[in-house]
Amino acid sequence: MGNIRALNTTISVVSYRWMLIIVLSAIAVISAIVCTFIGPSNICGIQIMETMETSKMSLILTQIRLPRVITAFIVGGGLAAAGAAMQGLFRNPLADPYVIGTSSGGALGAAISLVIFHSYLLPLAAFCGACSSTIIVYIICRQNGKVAVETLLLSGIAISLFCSAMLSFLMYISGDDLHQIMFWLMGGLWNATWDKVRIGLLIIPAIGVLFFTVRELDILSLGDDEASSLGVNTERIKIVLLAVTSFITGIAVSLSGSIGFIGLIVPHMVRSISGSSFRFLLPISVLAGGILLMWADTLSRTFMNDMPVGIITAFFGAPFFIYLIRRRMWT
Amino acid sequence: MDITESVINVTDVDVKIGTAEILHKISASAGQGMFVGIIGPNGSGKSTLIYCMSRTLNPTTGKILIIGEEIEKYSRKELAKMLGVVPQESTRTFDFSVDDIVMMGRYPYQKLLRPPESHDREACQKAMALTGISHLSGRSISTLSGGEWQRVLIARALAQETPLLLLDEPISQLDINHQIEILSVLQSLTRQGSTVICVIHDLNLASQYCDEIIMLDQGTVYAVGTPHKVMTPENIRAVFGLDVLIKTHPTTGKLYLLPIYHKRPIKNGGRKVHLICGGGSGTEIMFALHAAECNVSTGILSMNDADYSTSIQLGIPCIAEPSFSPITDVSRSLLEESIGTADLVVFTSMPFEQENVDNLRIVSECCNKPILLVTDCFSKSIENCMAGEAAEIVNRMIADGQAAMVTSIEALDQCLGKEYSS
Repeated sequence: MGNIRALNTTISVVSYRWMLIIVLSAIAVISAIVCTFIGPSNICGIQIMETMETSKMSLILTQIRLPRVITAFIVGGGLAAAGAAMQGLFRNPLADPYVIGTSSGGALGAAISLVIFHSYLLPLAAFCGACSSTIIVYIICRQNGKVAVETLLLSGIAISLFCSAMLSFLMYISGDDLHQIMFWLMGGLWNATWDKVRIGLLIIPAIGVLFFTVRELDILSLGDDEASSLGVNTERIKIVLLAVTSFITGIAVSLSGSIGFIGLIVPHMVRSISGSSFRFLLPISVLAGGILLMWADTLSRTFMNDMPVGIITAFFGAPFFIYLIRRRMWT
Repeated sequence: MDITESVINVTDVDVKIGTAEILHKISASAGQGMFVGIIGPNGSGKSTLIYCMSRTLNPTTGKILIIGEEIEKYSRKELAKMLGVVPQESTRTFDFSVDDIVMMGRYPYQKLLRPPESHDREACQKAMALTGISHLSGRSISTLSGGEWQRVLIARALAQETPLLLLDEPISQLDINHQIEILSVLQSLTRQGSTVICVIHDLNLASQYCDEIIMLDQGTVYAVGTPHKVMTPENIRAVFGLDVLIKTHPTTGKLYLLPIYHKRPIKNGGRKVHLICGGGSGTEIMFALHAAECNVSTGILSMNDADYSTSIQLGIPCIAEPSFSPITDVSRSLLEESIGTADLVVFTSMPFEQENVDNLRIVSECCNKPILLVTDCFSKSIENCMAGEAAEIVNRMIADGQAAMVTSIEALDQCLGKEYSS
């Protein structure tokens, strides 16, 4: 009897999580449509039929808003997935691409390519910057195969500071490119175009790779030794995860600058409703992150005079981060 | 043992971390169906040996064979099908459910992206039933107690369905009933052909359950073999620095250890002491005198007396009478002889029944040696703890200066230090 009841609980928990995925997918689609029609230029529902005829309105919808909404979803989802994966990899719920310096590295790479190569190979440069800063942080804080929370945060801060010093230097010598670099620092989606969406689509197969590693991510969060004894090739999976998360972050940064805290907050909120198993944490984080950034961007361009959305996420993300640190101290 | 027969075979393993040598020339093996215990004091390298056997740590030199094949030849996944590991401790960073954790044991069998299949679920349910955690199904691991979490980890290793299990102190946090439950489960697995290698802190449990024991000391194998061979007072003293009595368990016939507490409270040893005691009152003093290498004799005691069995256990000569019988002339002359050769006669506070009053009378009549009356009882008032003839005799002895009272083993020790002219 006990077993049957347990099995039923398991089934109901699983189906509850599937329901979450379905509901969030629906919300994502609806949000995408709604967000496309919300914006500073008022295009209300009744006008839709007429606007389709006026080239200006249709231009705003298809060439400005739609790519922007799609980019927001991809970037938000990608950052949330990268954050969730990094938390598993670093075995630490405080890890995220922004906190551990991956984003800053990406921004630095982007700025270097802007100033020196005039934005040629910009996504590649952002990716390389993101990768190298992650690897440096990882090497700094790895001791006896363990990654301690204090060293992780401290080395993340150190790398971030170093990157921003380099960025300041580049801004100082950049001249005309200053505005462009400022953009990477604040993080925003205002120059999203269909070309950018095409680059952004690269994030989707990268998230796909993460889905292949959900079981390993679960086990890896127990520690290297235990993961090895359960049959996980830990060193290989770590390299894969570092490469994929840096790739996602690099692409995201090259599209929208460094948008902070999405990768930290979203997996946290999702964990409280879906549990820690990456099988569900990862897809739900992708959906939630996409929805969150879509709406944050819509609010910013509609009501805040197109303020960089990175400011909004940092504005809400930083206090949440402090709350998480405090809560860890209490437990 | 033949190498091909053994499930695991460790040869000349050295582990150096920096300049420190953690393990030195370790060789060990375990055949199929064996329950092998690893014992040794803290820092003797028990966990390191488990790490080497599970390839968590690569030995600096030496060779480890798992089922006849070198351990490095296996891929991680293949190895996880060969041996399951229960770590000493495991951090709970994220909040998984108990079922998630146990299912992780099925990782080496699962295919990419495929959900768990029915035999995976069955293996998990069986493992949870064996470790007695079926009722924890669906619970989140952050709500578990330390002991429950330890059993979840054991269930995960069992779900791996491996021929070899390595456990690093798997029962250290469990209640005594669960300790026995888990060890019994492991033992039943060995009966079905699995091999279990287990670090155990509790020497009594080790001797109860293990077929073979590896005793480590400072990174080397100090002794190896059956519990009877390894668990000797000499080995325990050499490795743990503890004096123990080894007894036989009344129901299992296995060995169990009794630590000798209060190690050497008496410094002035080497003297000949005759101890008159009874009813368990002499046990502590007998141990103390014996440990101080005094030449102790005791009696006259009844054979059903607790002090009698203590004297037999310690190998102390004892003048004894069968239970409920009066003192015979033979015993009396033996007692007189024993007192005659002693430097000191010691009385403990005991129930003064007829036999003990007889002891007292014999001593007071024939003894020309100093007599010490030990315990609190005498110090208060003699009338409080004895009556009639006994009190009379004791009072007379004290009045004559033949006897003195001491109230503790320390005071007895001081008296032993004095030179008495006989």
